[in-house]
Amino acid sequence: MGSLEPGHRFEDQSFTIDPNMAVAYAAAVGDESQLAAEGKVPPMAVIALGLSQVIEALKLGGGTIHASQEVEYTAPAQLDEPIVAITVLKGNSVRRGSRFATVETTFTTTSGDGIARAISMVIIPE
Amino acid sequence: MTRNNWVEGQSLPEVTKTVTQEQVNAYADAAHDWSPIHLDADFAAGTQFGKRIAHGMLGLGFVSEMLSLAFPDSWGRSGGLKVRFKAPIFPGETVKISGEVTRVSDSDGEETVTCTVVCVKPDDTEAITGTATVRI
Repeated sequence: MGSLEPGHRFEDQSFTIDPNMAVAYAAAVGDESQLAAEGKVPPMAVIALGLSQVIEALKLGGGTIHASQEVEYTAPAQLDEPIVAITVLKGNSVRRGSRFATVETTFTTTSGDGIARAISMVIIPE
Repeated sequence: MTRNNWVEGQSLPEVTKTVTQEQVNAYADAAHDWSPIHLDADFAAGTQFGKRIAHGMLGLGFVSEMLSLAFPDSWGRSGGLKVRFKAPIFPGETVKISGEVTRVSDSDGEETVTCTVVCVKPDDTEAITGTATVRI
């Protein structure tokens, strides 16, 4: 992580949210909205599952803290539709003994249609 | 009153959640985030928080639920959100998620509603604060 420069593009990830995953996510959050009741993909599930893949790809330590999050949706994700997540490192610096890493992830369908964009900042103890 | 009946100063539907460790465990499985700071009491005891904390994205899931309730047809299609995680939510805490419309604008036939959003802990400290924007 320490040697990566801003602009670094991580290996593209792909994942699918099936009906069971959508229900499990909504149940875990306790989401009582109409989308969850209809069994559709909760919008934040896309970002959460994408972020967990980023955390895994970065091999971040267990003490990593989520500092900020931006999200922008362009279209709802569909159940069982593969989602491609492209993540680029936007910032990587050390301040007061902690590393601050910012990544931008673009979520699209396999045909390139936009679903969402997310910018996540995490703080990693050095 | 605007086309979609949103006005500045209007409150979004408040959401209240009591977070349990069981919920955090279930969220970890649902979101595939098994970081030990959320799940492992011994590991968490050695962190700056001294105990396990809920995922920040779980708190953001609560915020997203509120926005889905307020804007059921638009939030997941044309919503935007920018937040800071200011304090951790600990299992056992009850948090209140609320929001208020700060601006309603009309452009190119679309109405855009801007809101503050906040997730408040039992001691009134803010766990999450930010701004949401939804094109309706």
